[in-house]
Amino acid sequence: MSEKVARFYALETALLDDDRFHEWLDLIDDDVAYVMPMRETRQGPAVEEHGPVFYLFNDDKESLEMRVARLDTGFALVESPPSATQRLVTDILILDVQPTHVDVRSSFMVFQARDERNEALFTGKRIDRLKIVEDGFRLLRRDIRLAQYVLPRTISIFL
Amino acid sequence: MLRVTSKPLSSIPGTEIYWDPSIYQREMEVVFKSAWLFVGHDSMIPKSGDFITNYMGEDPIILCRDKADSPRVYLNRCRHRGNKVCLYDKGSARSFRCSYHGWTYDLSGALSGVPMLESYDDDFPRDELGLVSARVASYRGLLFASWDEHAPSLEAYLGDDLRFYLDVFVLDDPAGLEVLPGRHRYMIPANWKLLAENFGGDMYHFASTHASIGMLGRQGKGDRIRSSGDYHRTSSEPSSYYSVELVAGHPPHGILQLALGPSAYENDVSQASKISPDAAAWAQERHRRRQQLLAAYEHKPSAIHTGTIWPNLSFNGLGSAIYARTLVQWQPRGPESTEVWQWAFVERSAPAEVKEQMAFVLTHRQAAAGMVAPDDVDNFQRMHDVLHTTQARNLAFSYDLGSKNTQSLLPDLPGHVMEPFTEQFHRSFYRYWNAIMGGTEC
Repeated sequence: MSEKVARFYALETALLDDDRFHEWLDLIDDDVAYVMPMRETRQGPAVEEHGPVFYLFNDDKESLEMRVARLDTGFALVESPPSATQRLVTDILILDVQPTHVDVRSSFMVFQARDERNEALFTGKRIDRLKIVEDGFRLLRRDIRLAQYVLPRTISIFL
Repeated sequence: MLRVTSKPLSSIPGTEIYWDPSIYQREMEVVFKSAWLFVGHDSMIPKSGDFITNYMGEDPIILCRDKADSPRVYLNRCRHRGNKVCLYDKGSARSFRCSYHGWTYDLSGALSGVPMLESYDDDFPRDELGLVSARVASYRGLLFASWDEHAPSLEAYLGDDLRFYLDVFVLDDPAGLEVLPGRHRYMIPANWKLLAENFGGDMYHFASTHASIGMLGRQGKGDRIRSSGDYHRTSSEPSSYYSVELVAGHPPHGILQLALGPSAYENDVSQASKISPDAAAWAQERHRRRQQLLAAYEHKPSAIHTGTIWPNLSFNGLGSAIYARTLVQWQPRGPESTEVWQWAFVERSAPAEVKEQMAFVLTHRQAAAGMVAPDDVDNFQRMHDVLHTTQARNLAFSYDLGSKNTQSLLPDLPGHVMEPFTEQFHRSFYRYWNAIMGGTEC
C-alpha cells in the first residue's frame, strides 16, 4: 500500500509541475473537498467558531475545474507565461487504511519562479483522504495547512 | 527632473514617491500620524477583554475592549525596554504582560504590575508608564484610531458623502456585519499608494487585467462566482456605471462601479433563488431596505463595488449581495513593500446558506488565492521591477485619463459622480498627498 500511495503523490507532483492540469483533475474525485485555511494565533481558550471561514482554498471538483478553465483562457495574467514550479512532497505517512479509502499526511514545499527573479516558496503539510479505485486512488479530501502566517505572494498555483 | 509624459500635471509627483526611502519616512510621519487608520470592527472584539493585534502604519497596536466595554487602542510596546506585550493575532486577556521583565498592563492600559516594585525609588512614575494610547472612534462598528490629538472627528474625516455610501451599501444590514475567521495576509512588492489608488479609482484596469474572469463568464463557467459587473449585458436593462470621488472638505476617498439600473438587483435575486427560497426573500428585503434609504434621491443606485478610504483602507465585494464584504488594509512595509491584510465580513441577517456562498465567492475572486487579486499583484511586481532603473527613474507615470470636469454627472447624489473610466480620483489623491507632504493646507 505505501508504495502505491507514494506513486500517487509522485504522479500528482509531476502533473502539477508539468502544467498538465486536466490530467491532474482526473486524479480528483468528483466529491472532493479541497480546503486551505489561513493560519491565525489565538490567546486564551479555543472558541468554537460558527459559520463560514474565509479560506484560501475552499474548493469542490467544479470550482477546481473553474480555476483550470481560467488558466485555459490564456488571459490569466498571473500565469501568463506560466510560472515555473517545483514541488517536493515528502514524509508520506499513512494514518489509516480502510477498505474504501486511505488517510495520508505529507509535507510539501513548492518553489515558484516567474519574471526572472520573482520567486516564492510555500511550505506546509497536507492531510489527504484518498479514495481507493480500480486503477489506484482519487483525491477525496485535502486539508492544506501552510506553515506561513504571511504569504510571500498571492497564490496562483495549486498547493 | 526630466518628465516624459503627454500632459504633465503639476500636482502629480514623479515616481520617486513609490521608491525613495526618505519620502517614505516622511509619509510615515506626515500621512500615517495624522490620519484616522482602520484598526478593526466591533465583531472582532465582542466582549470585554477580547483583543486583536493590528498595525497603524508600521506601528504594531493592540485593539481591545476594556472593562467598560469601550474599544481601546495601544501601541504594542512595553514602556520599560520596548518589547511587544501581546504576541497573538487575537484572543481574550485580562492583562498584557511583557515577557522580558514581567511588566504588566491592564485593559485600560495602566501599568498594573511591576516585579520588584520595592527596588524602585518612591518617585518612580508608574502612573505615566501606561501603554501609549491612541484616539479611537467608531463609525457604526468600524473602528478607527489616530495618533493625532488635533485630528478632526472621524465623522468629519470620512465626510457626509462617503458616509452616505457606507450607510446604504456597506453598513445597511440592521443586524450589522460579522467578521469571518481567517484574515488573509500576503506581501506585494509595491508601494502602498499604488494599491490605494487602484481600489479608489481604477475601473480602467478591469478589462485588461481581469480579462480571464470576463471570459469565464462568457463561456458560462463563472456562474457560481459572478458579480453584477460581469453580467450586466445579460440583464433586462444594462446598468450604467460611474466612478465617484469624495473630496469636499476632507481627505480624498474614492468609489468604483456605482451602478444605476436594475441589473445588480436582478443578479442578486437570480443568484439567491438558486440557493434557497429564504435566500431569495432575504435579497428582496435587502433591496427594499436600500430603496427606502434612497427614497429622497432621484437616482437610486443599486450597488457600488470597490473603494478606498484615505489613506490605506479599501473595500470590495459590494457589487453583489452574494459576495462577502471585504476590507483590505495596505500596511506599509518600506517604500517598495506592502503587507496586505484582508478581512471578510458577512451580513448578519443573511441566511446561513447565503453566508457560506458569500465566503465562497470572495475566496474565489478578490482574495489571496482567488482568481482576481493575484493578477493585480503580478502587475505591481513588474512595475517595481522597472521603477528606478537608470532610465526608468526619470519617467513619470501618466495620470491623464478622463475629463477634468468637476461637475457631477448625477448632482442629486453625494460626491463628485464621474464617468467610469477616469483617473480623476488618482489626481485628487496625489494633490492632497502633495499638499500635506509639502506642509501646506489643503
